[in-house]
Amino acid sequence: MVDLQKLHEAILNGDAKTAAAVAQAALAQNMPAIELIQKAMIPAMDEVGRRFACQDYFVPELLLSARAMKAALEPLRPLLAASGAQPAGKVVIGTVKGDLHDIGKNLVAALLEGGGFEVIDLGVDVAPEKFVETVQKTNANIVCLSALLTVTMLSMKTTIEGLRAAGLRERVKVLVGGAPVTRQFAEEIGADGYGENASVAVALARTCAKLATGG
Amino acid sequence: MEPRKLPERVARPSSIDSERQPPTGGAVVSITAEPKWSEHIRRWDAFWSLEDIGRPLWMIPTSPVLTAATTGLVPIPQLLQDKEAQLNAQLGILAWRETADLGDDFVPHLQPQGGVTVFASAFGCKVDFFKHTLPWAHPVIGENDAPETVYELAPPAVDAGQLGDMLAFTDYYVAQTAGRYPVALTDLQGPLDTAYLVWESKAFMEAMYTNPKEVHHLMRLVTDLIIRYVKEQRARSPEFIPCHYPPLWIPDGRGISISDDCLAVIGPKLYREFCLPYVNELSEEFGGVMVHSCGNFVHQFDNLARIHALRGINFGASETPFEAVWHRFAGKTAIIPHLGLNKDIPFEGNREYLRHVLRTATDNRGLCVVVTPEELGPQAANPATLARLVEQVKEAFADRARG
Repeated sequence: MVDLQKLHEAILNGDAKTAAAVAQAALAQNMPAIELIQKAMIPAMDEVGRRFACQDYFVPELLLSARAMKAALEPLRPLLAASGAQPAGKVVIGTVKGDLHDIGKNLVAALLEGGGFEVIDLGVDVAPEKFVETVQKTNANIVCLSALLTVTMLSMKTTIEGLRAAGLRERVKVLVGGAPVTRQFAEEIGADGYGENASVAVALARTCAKLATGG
Repeated sequence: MEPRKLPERVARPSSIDSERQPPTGGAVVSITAEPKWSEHIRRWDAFWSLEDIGRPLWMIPTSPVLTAATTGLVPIPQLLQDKEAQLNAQLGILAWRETADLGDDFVPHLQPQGGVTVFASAFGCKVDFFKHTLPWAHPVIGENDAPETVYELAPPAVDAGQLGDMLAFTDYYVAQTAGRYPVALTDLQGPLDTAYLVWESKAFMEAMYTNPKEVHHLMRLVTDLIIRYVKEQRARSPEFIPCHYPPLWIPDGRGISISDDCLAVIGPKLYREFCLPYVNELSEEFGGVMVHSCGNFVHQFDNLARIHALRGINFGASETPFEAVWHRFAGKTAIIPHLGLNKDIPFEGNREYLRHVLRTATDNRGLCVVVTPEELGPQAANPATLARLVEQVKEAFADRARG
């Protein structure tokens, strides 16, 4: 019998090789993929988020854990798709137009992916139209906008306005974050949430996804 | 652990002074010889020696190039790539600043500026310039490249990439102004900050765990380049200010400034292994370091205390709590706060920030308060904005004097 604790620890320790091997072994023993995710993998990423929040983990540790999570998810994906299991939510994420900083955005994307979300990462310097177009195409239900520069923060507002003009605003939750962004600013531009760090952003995305599905 | 003491000043190599050319025509005298500015410099000398000069130092950091960029006087790409445009913009700002006579402790100087990318570009990183912000370097080691790719990097020439421009700008400034203004160090992102521009940041941080040898290899290359470049720029500058930001006066030989924003991003263990040894090398070479970091780096205080001859710490008081820095480092090193980009610790503007800093700091020694306009864009350098700022500083100082 595969020890799920081992999978949990492999993700916590950022050990991608072991995480993937344990997941494979569990599947070989006909353990349901969803059980691996719910009992070991999501709790591990929750613990990673907690350690990040209390400054026990920092950016490198978080990236390694996210990579281990991804490695463990790989062999599960075909089974999840075949079983009709849905991702926790579909997120379009990017650094807004005029801004090229991506460390924070990458962290949030990695944690979201680790948290069971389908993530469409548009990269940096993303125009409002690109966000709109991608939401239309993918039917995403969450948009995450990142900015590091005070001069590019306003592009978040333009993007929200773009979603509204395209008739998509009611369909998606918009979360914003980045060094100069504040809760007050998020409220002023009509965002649905403000993540002061990566783990808060993921918690917010989960709440949004639950609200969307009535879960 | 206390910061290790270095000699008060590391000697400037005598060969530099003996090779220095006299200013053309012999009529131009450096501004540092003028009584007003030599008085300023005396204050900075006392500041770095942690002496009490009766008040903290303070500064509105009109880094000449950045001010020109903020005010839109010259398009940023041109400003950073055209030495004539950059010099004219700086001279214009300096002249304006002198007329405005803000009363702060800024010492006029020139600075060759190419953005945070200058050292990374020497490794072959392609640099993109933008109209609205500072340049961006594309890593030469990508996310999916093998970590061993790092061994393919040759040690860059001291004038490779933008560094060559920065040296050419330095020569041009000295020649055009006949050495009237001191020249400050170009933007120096520290060893780790530069390394994760050269090697895609996510992959680099993962490699700290998976490929430490390769990470150290790059750190070695970057540190060697920094040392060679600083010596080269210094040799070309009759008066060299080894400080890139904020635009403080650091006497040559009493350390260099480095941006070490990785402090906030990584944990203490990784910093100790991958950064501290290289920062200490820079410190030994140049007589100390003044560290700048954005973000909250309280968790790195023990590591900062391990830096040999830590001359000063520059940080955002809205990111790292001022009182924490003060209680740990006051009397041991210079403390240079500003209002940071991140507003984790909210201040209702400069008035509250100044009051907080000046009330927390129980003496003047080693304190320099950096005050930046709250407004963005052209109004940042508007005379009325700056007059209001100066007034706020005066009020805060008076408030402190009243106790």
